[in-house]
Amino acid sequence: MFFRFAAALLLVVAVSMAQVALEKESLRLRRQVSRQYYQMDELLELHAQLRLEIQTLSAPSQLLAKQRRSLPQSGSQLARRHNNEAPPAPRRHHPSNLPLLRWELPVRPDGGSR
Amino acid sequence: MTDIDPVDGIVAPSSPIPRPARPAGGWRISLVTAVMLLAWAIMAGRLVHLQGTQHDVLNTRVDQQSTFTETLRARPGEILDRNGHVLAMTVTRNSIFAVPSRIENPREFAWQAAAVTGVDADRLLERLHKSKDRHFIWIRRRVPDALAEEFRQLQLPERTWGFRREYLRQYPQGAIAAHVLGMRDIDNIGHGGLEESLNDHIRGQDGQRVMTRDARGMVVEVEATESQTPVHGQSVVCTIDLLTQLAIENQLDELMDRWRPTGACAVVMEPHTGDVIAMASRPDFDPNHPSQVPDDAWRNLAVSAVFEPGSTFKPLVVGWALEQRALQPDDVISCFSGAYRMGARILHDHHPYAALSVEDVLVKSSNIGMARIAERMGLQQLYECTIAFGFGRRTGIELPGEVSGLLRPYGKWDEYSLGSIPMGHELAVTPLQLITAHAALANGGRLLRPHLLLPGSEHLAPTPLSRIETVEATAPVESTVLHQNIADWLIQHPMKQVVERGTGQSAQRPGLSLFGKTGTAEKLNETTGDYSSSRHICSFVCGAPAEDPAVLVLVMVDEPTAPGRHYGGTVAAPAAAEILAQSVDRARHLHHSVTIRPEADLPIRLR
Repeated sequence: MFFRFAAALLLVVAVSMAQVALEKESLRLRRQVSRQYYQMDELLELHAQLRLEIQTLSAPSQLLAKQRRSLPQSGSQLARRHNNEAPPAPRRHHPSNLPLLRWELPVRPDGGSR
Repeated sequence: MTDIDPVDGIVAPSSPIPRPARPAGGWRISLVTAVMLLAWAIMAGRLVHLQGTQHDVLNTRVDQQSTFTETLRARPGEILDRNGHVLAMTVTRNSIFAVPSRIENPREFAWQAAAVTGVDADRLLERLHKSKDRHFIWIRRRVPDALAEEFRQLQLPERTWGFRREYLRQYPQGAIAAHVLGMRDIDNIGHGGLEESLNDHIRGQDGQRVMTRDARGMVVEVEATESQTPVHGQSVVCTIDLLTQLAIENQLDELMDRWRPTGACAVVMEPHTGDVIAMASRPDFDPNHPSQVPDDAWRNLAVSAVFEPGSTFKPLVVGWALEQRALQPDDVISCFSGAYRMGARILHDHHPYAALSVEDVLVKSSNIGMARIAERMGLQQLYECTIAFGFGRRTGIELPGEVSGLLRPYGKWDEYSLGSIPMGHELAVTPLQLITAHAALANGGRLLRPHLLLPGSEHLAPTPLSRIETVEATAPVESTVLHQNIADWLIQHPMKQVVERGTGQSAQRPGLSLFGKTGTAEKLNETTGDYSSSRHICSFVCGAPAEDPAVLVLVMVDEPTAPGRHYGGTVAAPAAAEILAQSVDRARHLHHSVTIRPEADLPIRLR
């Protein structure tokens, strides 16, 4: 009688523990899925931001405006050449002045990426 | 206790047993019992009452207190040009809000918040005071990420402020094609252009997330069964070619600087398909800055302005007369040396001609010659001509605000109309109607429905951000207006000669076989009701190459004011020819389909 009772109790405990383990695993997986959805949303958003930046920087109107800005410089260079003037010292090219794309991921001040 | 008789077993009654004495205060127990029973009865009754009659009311109240619904905004779709360049797209931005009920020092809060966000500190303080019992007010919406980070660094008291992510519509090309695109407001509603006409497709459908929270307001569970995933908006591919669009925008800017008109517009069309490759209007606006848009800039003149087409209408009348056999190409029309009486009025030509061939009637743009041709046709044929070429009704392009022009009912036409209509007076058309009618000449006589959505996009793939709308193309051909040989003759002879030796000579471009027709219409003087001799609408419609037209361009200039000769050939033709030259170059590279990315590559959630 005692052994039967103990066996039944053991069975119940075992089933309960298995259920708890399954619940925990299920919860962990759900959290993981949720986190991955969140990460995908974040990546999509980052994709959108970068896509916008690419499209803005490579917009033909932008490039044309840049080309137009460069035209007077060419004219002045010609004038300098005509007057035998020395060309100005080349300016250092600051990275932030790069005309087109910068393939950098936005980084938070604390070091983590967005 | 009883005694038993040993003889006969009869039980004899014994002496009476004294009953135990009732404890003192027993009535109190009874009272307590009764009270408890009564209390239980009341509780049971109340329970039945609550569960039975007030169940729904209480359930609703509990739901209101413990659950809340968050709207999940749908991301609006993108608008792409025919080569996949993004014309409109959506990103998210942080919006900053405050919780006035938890702010202990509103003055300090307002001062610090205003210093970073740029809002007026006094006004913010006033709003905080006014809303001190509320739990939410906006401080500033859709701020750049850098500004949001700066605000975060302020380290204002916790739970007195927060961020919410909101969508922001961006137009990376700036003011390019602003009238075609329109704009999308802060509530995700499209206004003007494709944003409005395709709002149902682009907008998407908001979802919702239902959550249960505890007494402290913390979320304890998301009700997955009651939540709905948002359906993001669909992206659309339009027929616009960004580089051609840029060319006409630049030409219109130069034209506005040179002639200072009140308005101008230009349309570039592919005559064989009805694709609108570029469309621009002045004055214009930048949809990225909706608060800075002038009141008169919203109007897309290409579809909403009506004007008398003037001489640009003449080739259509000649084409219809040839089609109806009222005229032969080799006919000679007497022009009465520059003055011709029609009923009560006398028509004049700019230069007197005794007689002109049909070709020269168009080349010299003779009003008398056109009136003589119209006399051969009669009013009925003339009216049928206007209807056949699509005037008096909307073209059906996917743009809001298109007007149908002004075409009087046939019953109101009289003999005066017989002289006015052939020279493009007495009716008003939109620039889009006019170029659509001329496209029928350029494509061999088929009147097409102009469109802005790239048809046949079934195979187009989505961008990672949203799906691409599959456009159910409407029947592109409305009707066949002219026989091909008549249309070809008009293009390759009279209209080509207009550029080579007629009124459109300023449009000549070396190496390019152009055809075109100038138009100069006098505007009505609203006070006198007469035509004004100083206010004109100058237009020029042209195409190339004449042997097989690939591109058609229309430029319309409304009331140029700068000094000079205000004719279609002087004001509109040079700009139109320049646009045409660039468009023809560009036309060789135009694709009629876009492949961005195979759909199978995308996660299932995005398909």
